[in-house]
Amino acid sequence: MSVDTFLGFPREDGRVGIRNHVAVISCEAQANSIARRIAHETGAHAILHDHDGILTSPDRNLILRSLRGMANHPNSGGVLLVTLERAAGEAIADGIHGRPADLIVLAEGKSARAAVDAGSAIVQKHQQRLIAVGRSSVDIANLRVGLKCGGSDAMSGLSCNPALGSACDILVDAGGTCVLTETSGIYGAEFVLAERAVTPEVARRIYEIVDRVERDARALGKSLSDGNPSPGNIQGGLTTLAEKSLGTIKKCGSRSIQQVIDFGEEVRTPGVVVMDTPGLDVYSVSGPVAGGAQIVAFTTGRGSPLGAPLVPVQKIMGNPHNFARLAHNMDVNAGTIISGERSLSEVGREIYEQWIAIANGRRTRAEILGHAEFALPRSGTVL
Amino acid sequence: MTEHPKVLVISENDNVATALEDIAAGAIAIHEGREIAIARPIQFGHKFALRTIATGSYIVKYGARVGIATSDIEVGEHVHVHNVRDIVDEVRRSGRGRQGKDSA
Repeated sequence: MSVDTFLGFPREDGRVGIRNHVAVISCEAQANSIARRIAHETGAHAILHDHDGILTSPDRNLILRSLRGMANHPNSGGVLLVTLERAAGEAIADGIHGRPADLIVLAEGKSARAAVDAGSAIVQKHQQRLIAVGRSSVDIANLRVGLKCGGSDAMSGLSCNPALGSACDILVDAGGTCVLTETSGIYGAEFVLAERAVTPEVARRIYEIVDRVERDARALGKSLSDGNPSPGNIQGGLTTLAEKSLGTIKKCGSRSIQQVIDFGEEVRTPGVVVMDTPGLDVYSVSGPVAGGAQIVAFTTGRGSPLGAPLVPVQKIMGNPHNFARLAHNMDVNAGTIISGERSLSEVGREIYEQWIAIANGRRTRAEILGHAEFALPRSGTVL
Repeated sequence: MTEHPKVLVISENDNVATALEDIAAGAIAIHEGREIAIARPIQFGHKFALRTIATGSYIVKYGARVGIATSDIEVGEHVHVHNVRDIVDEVRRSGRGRQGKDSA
């Protein structure tokens, strides 16, 4: 049996990129506009977020881990950090390995214009260098795909999610990695994932992260089971919350759960990995992106224009009527399962083969349209 | 000759199928070569039973338990909130019980 391969960019740390971008990372919110302008002038990718005071923030670990993850991301071949305070930029630079960590510090008497000019010159230097870096054939096992569903409807659990799961099974069997996100979406089906956990400790972690989200909801006087499934879900044919959650987790396929990791933590273990992320779309895409996923597969029934910096987001539409309306924003039509034209496994095979094409350079609709959202979650009260 | 309605069975262990179109009363659905008579209309996206499901038995979809029948359900009958209750609390508890034993 032949091994599937793709043409990627091998990096110094052993990972393989599928794009050769330069990343311009804003270390603190105050640097966002400068980072955006540098990216705009050079065609680099800006990574922006809304945290400042990152070294004293209660979310310090998450922020540093995630921004270092973006700085080391295999889909970029060079990085520029833009920061207000030197210490914040250096804290991120400390975690960059195998590539130069250029830093623009704004608080040291540098005007916005001078910062944009200096930053653009550094980015262009990286871009010149990257022209000479070619693609090499590597095993598909080097591919890590983040999984997310957003804008779901009654079709999602029948079409796009199980089709994506079928693609995950193919990738995992070939040695690759799939990263399930969105802890709140697991509620009610966590026992299915726990039964697939490779060790009792991984099972315990699955219960632990779901219980924490339910505790957080209770602290706000809510429960994840309140009004869930919704009247709209019930009208669409969903009967129970267990059924709805099973439809959600179906997108990670049927193989063993290897590990539970935190938001933005580097994805290292092959197989199915659960990343503990908030359910909101932008966070559950940004989490695996920061963790080094080279592609995010995003299933939807009603559509969503969300993209990500550095990483191609692949849109898989599960509703045949909405595919016709949103074809321009979609990469895969899983609505053909509902219309009876194709089977789940046929669409699963198409998704998997499109991952190889995307890894080889084919651009997704979100990339072509320039959709590139990024955000880091914030815990607790803001002082 | 009438066409059979389009239906989807996700896992081979499932005891329910999902209608991929509105199914009229009197239609005959086909599952694994077997004819299933649909006595009453089933809406697009809704489920019907592939086997008889006795009161207190599990509804199985995705190859997993998704609910418990609150009345006897005939082959071809609509399976929804009127004859199924959620088991989310039960499965969350039972899963933890099992996991507790493993780690003990």
